[in-house]
Amino acid sequence: VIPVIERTSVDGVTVLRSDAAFGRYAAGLVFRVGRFDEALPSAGLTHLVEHLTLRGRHKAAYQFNAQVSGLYTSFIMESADPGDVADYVAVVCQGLAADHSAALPQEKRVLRTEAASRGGGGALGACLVERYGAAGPGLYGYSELGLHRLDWAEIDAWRRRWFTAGNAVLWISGPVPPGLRIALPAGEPVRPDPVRALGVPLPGCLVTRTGGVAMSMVAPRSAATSMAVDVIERRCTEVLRHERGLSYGVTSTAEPVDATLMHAWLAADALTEQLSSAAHAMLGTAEEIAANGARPPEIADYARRLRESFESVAAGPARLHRQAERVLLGDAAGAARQPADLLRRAAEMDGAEVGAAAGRLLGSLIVATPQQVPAVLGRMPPLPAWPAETGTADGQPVTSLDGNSVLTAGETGVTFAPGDADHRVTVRYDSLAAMLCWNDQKRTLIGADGFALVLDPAQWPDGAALVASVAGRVPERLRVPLDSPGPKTARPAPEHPVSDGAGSERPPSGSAAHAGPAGSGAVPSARTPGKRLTIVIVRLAWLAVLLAGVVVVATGSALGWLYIMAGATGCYRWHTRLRRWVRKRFRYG
Amino acid sequence: VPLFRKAAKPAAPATPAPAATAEQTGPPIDPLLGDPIAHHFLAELTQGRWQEFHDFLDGVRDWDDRNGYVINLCAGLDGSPEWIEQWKAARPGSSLPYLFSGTHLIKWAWQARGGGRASTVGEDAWPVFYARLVDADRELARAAGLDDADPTPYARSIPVAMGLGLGLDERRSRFEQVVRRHRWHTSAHADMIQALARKWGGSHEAMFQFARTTSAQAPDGHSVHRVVALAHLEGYIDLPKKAEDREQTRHVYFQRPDVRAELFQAADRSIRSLAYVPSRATPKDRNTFAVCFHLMHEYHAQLQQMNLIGAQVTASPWNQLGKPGKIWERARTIALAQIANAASAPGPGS
Repeated sequence: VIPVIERTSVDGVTVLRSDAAFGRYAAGLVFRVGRFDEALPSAGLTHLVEHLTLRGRHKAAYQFNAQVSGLYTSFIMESADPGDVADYVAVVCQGLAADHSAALPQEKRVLRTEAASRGGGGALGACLVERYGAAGPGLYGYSELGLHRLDWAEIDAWRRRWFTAGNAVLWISGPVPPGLRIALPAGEPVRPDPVRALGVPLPGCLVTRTGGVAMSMVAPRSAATSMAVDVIERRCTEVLRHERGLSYGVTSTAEPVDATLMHAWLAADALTEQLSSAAHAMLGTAEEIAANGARPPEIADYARRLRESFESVAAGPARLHRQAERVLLGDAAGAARQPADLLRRAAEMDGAEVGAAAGRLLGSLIVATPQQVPAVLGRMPPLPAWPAETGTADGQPVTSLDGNSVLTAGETGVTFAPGDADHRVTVRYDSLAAMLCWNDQKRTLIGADGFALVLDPAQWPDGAALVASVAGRVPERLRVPLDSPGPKTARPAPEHPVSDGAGSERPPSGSAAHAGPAGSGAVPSARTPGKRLTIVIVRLAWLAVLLAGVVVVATGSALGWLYIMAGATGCYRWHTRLRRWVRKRFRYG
Repeated sequence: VPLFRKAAKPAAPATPAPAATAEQTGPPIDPLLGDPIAHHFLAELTQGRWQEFHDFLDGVRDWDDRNGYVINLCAGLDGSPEWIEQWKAARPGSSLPYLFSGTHLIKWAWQARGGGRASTVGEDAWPVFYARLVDADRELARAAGLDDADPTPYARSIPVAMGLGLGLDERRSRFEQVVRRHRWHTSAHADMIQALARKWGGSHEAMFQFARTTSAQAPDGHSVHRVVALAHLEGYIDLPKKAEDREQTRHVYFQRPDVRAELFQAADRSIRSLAYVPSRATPKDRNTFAVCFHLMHEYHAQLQQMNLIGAQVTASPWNQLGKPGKIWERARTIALAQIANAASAPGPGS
């Protein structure tokens, strides 16, 4: 028997309740705020609130935990005593109201340690930065920069804005305990803003440092989309693991990115030598589902598993939690839906409907692999390595000390242009996501599109003044002070600062995924003026030897041939370069 | 005398000098090997008339023949024929249009890439090459799904796997699908030599092991013994033309006793076997061994095969050494000259 979900209200907070099984009672106080609501300089703010709220409550007679996802913050508990629910809710509400300013430095350190051991955003973060830049879901690609700069006033303001009765739902698996109080400040529900995608051409592929093959997809939230993700995962597992032995397993996760869209993530591990086969099989399988739909046994299996999950002992709390999230998203229809409705919908699902949902998912696909894979490149191009915007900031251009790059810093923003490429990166002040202030005077400007510029005073004439003038235009709220030296740059270079996955204390500084400008040779080589002069002298010397040989031969001496041979050998490097240039210019130009 | 050395020019007196034009261009090479049926269907397909060919191909149940017709006719078609979609629509449920489409896409992909080594391929060509191969693989998978008995889609998918860089396990898996349906599929065995070659991510060890195992197990008189010759040609081409140790260069490869013994044995078990039954694969068999005999300086055996080949000169494997017609003519001239020289030389008793 699947318990029915009842809805009520306590102290202005919506309460969802259903009967508990086997004498275990659980509850969750869920708020509609998460990482996607933060700004880059404050990233980690919600996480900090969550930690501070339960600070000092590491021991209790019941089990409890808390977590922050993209759109939600949840405080969850489980106990054999239904009365513990009221105690836990009271603890959370007290924690949300208390002054934790004295504990702030310590808790920041704890969180930075947690982040370091957890690692960076990995391939998932890199894909989300490609979609959304340095905002919303794209923040998964960055470390929690706010842990370096947030003060108590900002944290308290954040609590008062988001952790309110109107923006919370309490679910209880068990009876509503007598005397339950939910002491939260009054407030209105806050629906998530619609995500703003950057509009990169999709599908596209990306090289990241994470192994295996991963697929990032976005589609409208629906039962068909959920089933499509499930069917793709199951059939990929069948093909990749059981039929072909290409992967240990395929996993999938799905998370809403706003009130209407869902991000799905499918990942398969694979040996390097099997990477291409695994990617080909994975993509081919998903394409097959999009083209021909789900098979009846797959739909029946999904419906059966859904029923079993509703009937299992652990199902009640999970179902209540999902329902609470729907309420907080403002999904009235979804929130009113009972498990029986979901089961009926799943059983009646049409295979073609699932196929269409799979097609929508694949239309938004980003494939992440640790290296370029032919079977992927045959399906989609690499994502652009440079920003689409080609505009240049106003101002006087400055040439770098090595003469290979130009920086234009003006009233509206900063443009970096490598000397030998047609591309440029412009970070405008009105769309600046954050500025990282390293302790060695370097500054990293991160644009809203995720592209970034590292400004090193040592690389520009009058560099200290130049960097200071740029930094002076950045509002205080966007500055992130970092007590570590900036990235080592052999040359001025644009960056795409997605998380490096190393969990380092230093905020991320560029990824292999989007190191296209640096990796593709578009960025000027690291020649110093001294080296260049040496090269010119050596070239002239060889040319002189060659010409001397011609002169000596002309005078009738066979010794000149030796000069000619030596000169020709020395000039060989020119020849190779010239040949490459001609081939590139006339064959493929 | 190796084919490509200037020193290989024949001594003039005993051999009639071939016409200059013939030496420059060599005999014309007909990809359809003079097969009137194939020529007829190529003319039909060029006009977009596929119906008669469909019925014909449907009736071809010799899988080697079906494979040969599909490859050769696709090779003769330029661009991307629009009528293949009409064919699919008009014959729903038939694997043949998908097989033909997939095979044509492979050829089209290689047209974009070019036949040279990876270092010679333009950056813009790679995405086109990969995209066409991915499409080809989809079409071939569809064909395989529509006719489970036919090994041809799996055979054609082996070069696709190579081009897409799919692993050796995947290539072997596709090959196993072929031999499960047709144990001695000649073309698939020949393709596996390339699929296992070092230049495609394999190794000489794996390639030669495959060739030797195949030949050891294959029945006498079968075309498939050609894989031994193909493996040695691959091993030969992979060697440098120049090296400090001359033993490590191409020049001595075909003079090695072990290589010669293997090639003689393979020829004796195929084209020189009494059990050998000529088939559509015969011109390829004879041309392959003729090249090997030439490189082995076995000029009598080479000319014997050349005479049997007649007008059915195949581009491969002559094209491994240069322009096929020209190389053929030059090899023939050298062989004739060497035989004439040997005949005119004073014998031990004279």
